[in-house]
Amino acid sequence: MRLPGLVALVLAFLLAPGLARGAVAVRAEVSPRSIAEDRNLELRLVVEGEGIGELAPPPLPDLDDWKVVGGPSVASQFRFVNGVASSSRTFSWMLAPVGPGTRRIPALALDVGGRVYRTEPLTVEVRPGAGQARDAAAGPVDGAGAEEDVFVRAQLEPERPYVGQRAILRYRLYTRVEVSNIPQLQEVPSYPNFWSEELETPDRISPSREMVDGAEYQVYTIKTVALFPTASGPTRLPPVIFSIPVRSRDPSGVRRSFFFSSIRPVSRRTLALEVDVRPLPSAGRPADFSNAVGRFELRVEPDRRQARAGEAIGVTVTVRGEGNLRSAVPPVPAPAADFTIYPPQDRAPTPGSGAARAWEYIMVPHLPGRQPLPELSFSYFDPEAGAYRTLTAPDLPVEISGPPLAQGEDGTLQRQEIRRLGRDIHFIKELSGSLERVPTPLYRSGWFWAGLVLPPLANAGALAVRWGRQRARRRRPLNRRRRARRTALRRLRRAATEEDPGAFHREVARALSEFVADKFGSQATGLTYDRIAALLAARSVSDEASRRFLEVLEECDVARFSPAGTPAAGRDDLLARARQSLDDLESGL
Amino acid sequence: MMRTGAWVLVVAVGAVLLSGGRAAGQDLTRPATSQPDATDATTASRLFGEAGEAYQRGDFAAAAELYGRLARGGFGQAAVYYNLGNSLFRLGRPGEAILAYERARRLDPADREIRENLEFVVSRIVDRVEGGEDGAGPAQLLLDWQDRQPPGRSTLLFLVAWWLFNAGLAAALLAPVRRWRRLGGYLLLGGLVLVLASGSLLGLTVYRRDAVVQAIILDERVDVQSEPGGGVKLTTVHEGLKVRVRDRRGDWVEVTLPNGFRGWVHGETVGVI
Repeated sequence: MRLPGLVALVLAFLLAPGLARGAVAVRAEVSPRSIAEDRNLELRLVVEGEGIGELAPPPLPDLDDWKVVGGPSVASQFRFVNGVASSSRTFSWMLAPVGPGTRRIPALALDVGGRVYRTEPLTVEVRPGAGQARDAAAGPVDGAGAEEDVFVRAQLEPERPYVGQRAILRYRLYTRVEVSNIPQLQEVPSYPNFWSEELETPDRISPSREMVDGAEYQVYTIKTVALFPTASGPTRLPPVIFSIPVRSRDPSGVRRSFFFSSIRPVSRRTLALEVDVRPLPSAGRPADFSNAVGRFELRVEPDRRQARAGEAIGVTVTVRGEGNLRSAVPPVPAPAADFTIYPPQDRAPTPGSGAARAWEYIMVPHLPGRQPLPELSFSYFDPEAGAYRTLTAPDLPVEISGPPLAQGEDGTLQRQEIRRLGRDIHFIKELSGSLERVPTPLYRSGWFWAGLVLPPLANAGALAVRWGRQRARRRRPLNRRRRARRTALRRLRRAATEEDPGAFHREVARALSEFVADKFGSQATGLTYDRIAALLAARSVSDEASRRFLEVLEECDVARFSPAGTPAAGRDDLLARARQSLDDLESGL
Repeated sequence: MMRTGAWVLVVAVGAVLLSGGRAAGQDLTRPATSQPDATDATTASRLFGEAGEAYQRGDFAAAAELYGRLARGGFGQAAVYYNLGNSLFRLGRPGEAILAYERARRLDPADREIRENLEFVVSRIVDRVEGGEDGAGPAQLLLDWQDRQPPGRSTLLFLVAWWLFNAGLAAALLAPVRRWRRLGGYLLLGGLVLVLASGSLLGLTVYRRDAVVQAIILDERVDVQSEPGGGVKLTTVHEGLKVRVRDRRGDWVEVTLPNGFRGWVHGETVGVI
């Protein structure tokens, strides 16, 4: 049984110096060896032995898997059994796991009287997820204060906020024991990817009752924070640790007396919250979207309803409601040619509930008469409806008196510069005819290739024709000479078919004279006997051959003009001699 | 002279052939949504009218859907893409609107309303890149002028010049009368100058239209990575920025930003013009 701490300390002080230095045992222990992720663990370093004297808590090694949330605390014990005195000292730390899994506590080292003692490393199973109620109901599951049935839960509302939406983070204390005061955070929490604003917690909190795993708990909202997500996507709200002052009870359930303090702090850690922050939809976003997210009302108040042209009218625009107005931009007034509107200035909104922003616009009317103020609208995103809303102030006419601003002293209207009041896209187009399929670009069509290839082809063809003609012209005399005998023989064959003697002789004579003309590249007309004889002589044709040729030719000429003609037997002879003459001349030429 | 003419012909033909080769690559990042929705001109005209009515009554989603169907169905004339851009802009989708306007501008570069709407929407996007593609000087003026020319015009100009050149050649070589041959020589020289100028213009047009693949960032925020699917995040670009597509590996495309940065983005985050 444990002695009261004060008595143990006194005895240890009185008797310790007389104790002889003896065996010393050092061990590290945790209980339990398995905890839920949101629970804390008590690590104890126990030193037992004779004459251990004064010991300072040793420094903890690097704890990668744990976070120290309390300690060290020291407890001493003294025993005197059968005349032998011994003492023990226990150093305690509260540790919080960094996450689920098998977590390791490395060996601890302690210097006792110049000798260093090392403990064995420890492993602890950390179960994922929440386990407060189950663990608490199952009995003492973590170190100091584990027997106290109390835990803290973090709740975010809404669970999936939009970017910029005001979300409320509540830390709720569930307890079945008496808590003496409002629990306090052990360290200031940070909320990455959120802009936070702590909301005031009342001094007195009224509890509600909730059933958790079949047990009834009193529930207190002990801290409330307004969070505004700054980026979309999944993010994490880290766990926080609360120190909870609870009144302890003895095993009989009777509260301890006033003299022995019955209030002891216990640490409880919340679970990390995984939050999926939704982006603002791009569909339907108004061009004048103000970046405000929530639900708001718009109020437009001119500081006067009557003014003279050229006098400034202050128009205060107040947006108020539930949500985030911190990054809201002021409304852009609708273009108005008859007002000069100056950029708005931030103004403090009038006191009221909810978030509020106010801006003041200075508007200077130009023309007299009853005129509506330029329209002011405010667009925001309503997260409950999941849609954008646009608030437009109702028409607020003001009575403007006096001469127009653009009127000179002499009463004549001055010309004004035409100002551009706004910009927008041009309107959609209409079709002039029917809608046709989009053709292939001209440079990829067959027409392009045809147009590209045809001119050179035509040029090449023309050149080829011209070349062929020139070649033919160059070769004509040679061909004529080469074909002279063949042509003459063809004429002789034709002559043989002629019935009429005149025609017969004419054809034979023509065959012979054309032969000479072809051979010498001249015209048959005008070839006289002497000319033929001279030509043949010039080509070294024998006189005999020349004579026989001229005889046949002359015979034909005579017969052509003779009325009696030539008998049939003479025709064959004439043809034979003519062919012979041709052969003679061909070989000679 | 003949050699120069042949060289110009080779350059022009090469540019067209090159455009054909790169045009196939251009479809790498284009979504395969070319199933025709409107099969004939009458149906297409009716859908166009219905889309216009939807737009005028403020139903921009329906208008965008109908204009999109027309564009996918092969009726993507400049007016269809222009109206699609208007509808998408009204729906708060500036990236897709810019893509539609760019496609409309390719079809009708001389249209002033297309250019102005494009400039208006581009003026409202997030990214302002220093050292962008807009330069100054005569070269930029020439490019700007060329940008405004319909592609068919430069093609026709080149063909006319080509025919004049060949007619001059034919006259210079084949005309029977010496005076005609001299006139043919003058025509040949003038045609050669025209062929050089119009061939260069056509080559530039084809190169800028087909060989240079450009795209628009469609997602609100896109991280540019040093490698396809990983590596280091080089920068973040935003919806509506025009980039040049260089390469493609799987689902990722390599892009060049207007300031010269190069990196990889997922293919689904960009739309090829």
